[in-house]
Amino acid sequence: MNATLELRDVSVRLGRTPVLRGCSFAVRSGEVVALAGPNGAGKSTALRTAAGLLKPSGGTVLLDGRPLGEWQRRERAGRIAYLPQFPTLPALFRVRDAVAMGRAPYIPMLGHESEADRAAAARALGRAGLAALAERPVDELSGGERQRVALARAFAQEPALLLLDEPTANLDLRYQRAILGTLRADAEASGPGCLVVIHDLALAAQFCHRLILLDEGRVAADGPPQEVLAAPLLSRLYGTALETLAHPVTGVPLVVHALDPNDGTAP
Amino acid sequence: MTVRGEARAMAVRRAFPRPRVTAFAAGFAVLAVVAVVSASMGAVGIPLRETVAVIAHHLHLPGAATPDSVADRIVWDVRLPRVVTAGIVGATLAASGVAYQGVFRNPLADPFLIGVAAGAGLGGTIAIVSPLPLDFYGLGFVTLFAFIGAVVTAGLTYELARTGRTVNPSTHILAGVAMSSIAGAATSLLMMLNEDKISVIFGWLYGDFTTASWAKLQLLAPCAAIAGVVLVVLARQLDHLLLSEDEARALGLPVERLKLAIILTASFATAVCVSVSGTIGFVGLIVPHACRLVAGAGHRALLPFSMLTGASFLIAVDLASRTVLPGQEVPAGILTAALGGPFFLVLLRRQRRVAGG
Repeated sequence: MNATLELRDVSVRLGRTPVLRGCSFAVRSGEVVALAGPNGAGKSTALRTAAGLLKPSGGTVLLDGRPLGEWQRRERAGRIAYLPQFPTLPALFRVRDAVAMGRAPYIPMLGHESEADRAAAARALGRAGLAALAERPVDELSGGERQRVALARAFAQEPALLLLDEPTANLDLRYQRAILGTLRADAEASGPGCLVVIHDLALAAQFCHRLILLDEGRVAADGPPQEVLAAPLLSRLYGTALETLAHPVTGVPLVVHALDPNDGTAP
Repeated sequence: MTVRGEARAMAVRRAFPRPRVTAFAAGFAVLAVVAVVSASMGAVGIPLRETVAVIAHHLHLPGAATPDSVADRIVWDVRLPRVVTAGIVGATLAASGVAYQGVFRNPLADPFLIGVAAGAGLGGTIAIVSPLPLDFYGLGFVTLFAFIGAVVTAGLTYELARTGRTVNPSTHILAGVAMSSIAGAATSLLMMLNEDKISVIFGWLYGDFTTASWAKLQLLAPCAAIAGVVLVVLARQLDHLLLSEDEARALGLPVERLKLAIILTASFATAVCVSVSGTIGFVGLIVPHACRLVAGAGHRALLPFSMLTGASFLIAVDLASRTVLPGQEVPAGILTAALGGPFFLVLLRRQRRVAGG
């Protein structure tokens, strides 16, 4: 499944406030792209715009070369899955049923779910490591399990591109690795491409093929993590002294707080 | 985990493995028993066997004996229309409760509590005092206006409670109570200004099941059936509307259109019920909440199961309203309020705990 999602000079206003100001970047199948930047840089807005949930006030969003607005709702939902930072899992639903919701784009208005729908939902459960929890009510799950249920719902949608808003924000280190590792392995095995909003730059550098830094609604840098994080722009961007080290074995860049030059303490 | 938390978790877990088929079979059995018992009890007691014989005779069941003519008149002409009317109203109110709770993502929503019932009352009253012809049996223009009143209040209440893209459930109910007061005041004013029509308005607004007949059912039943079928068809979409708006849209749902269709249908259902039986509150709250524990929260099971249970519930309430006080009827709305008020308070407390309020 090959797909390309491209933001071309996109501007978005929320109310009267311009949030994106001429933002351009693209995501393709086969890659995991991290979207980072300081609070308020427009990461979530960029993601929602890419998902077709916000209308740009300028520029266009193209899915496979065709403006997103020209796609049929269901057709688009079969290509792009989106998860907000705090996905909803309806109370008293079993894990299996919550995941099966991802099949919505494929089930006709008056129809029933087909064998293919059930199979896709079962595959998604397996990929998210939830097979053993399938019959449990979502109300009983831990934070990490709930996050995986939401992710499985997006998997069940069988999209060509996954747009995820901070999928690792409230996960412990093990699940951060499990989820990002799965996404990367899937993308490389011709699964869906990913655009992931992420705050932890070391995590982004470790698991993502590409890193896009947003600053005040514009793309400040877009490239392989090694290049983007080596540039001196990080400290200016985040407004705090930062240093980039290389992992002693892998060479993957690690961003840490620099020593405070005034009092000599590490913050 | 606290003891209470554990007890709740167990209650939740218990709710799931139970086979749905058993639940529905039990629901139908309860409905049949409640209906037959209700048709047998009253000022004149009819033996259950006799009641069953009357029903079997009229349904042309094979081997049905010709029943006693007095029993036939009492059961078939007087009590059964009332039982069936109460059942349909109960099922319809439960269905609109489920629909409102789903579409507003508010577990406290009930046609009465969010002001829709009062809006329907005001709409119907406007039709009665207007020069429009009163169609037979109070349905017709009166119901149409009640429907408009219901839709307008549903929309206004929601908009009043909305801050940005979110609606706090408790605020929604507060707005509903305020809208009910306003609509109620306007209705009272219209009654005072139109004293010549006051008995018509009163009879319509505080209608009960005493005047039920097979002829009236010919209008009620199709309206309720349409509303019920539309909601059951939209059950899967109701599931998806439990997600946030962004998530539902990202799944390819036409969220705005679906919400509109569901609010219109639920409001139509409420208006029809108000036209037939006056305002009966809390049925749409008590029944769906009880049913969630048995059928789960998925609307494809919850909606039909709530309708089934709502029918039994209101038939039982109507039976109680005829029999608790000797020689006197207690309006069904008073009984449901007596049951539903405390129930609502418990839900409200739990809701506030969940919301961290």
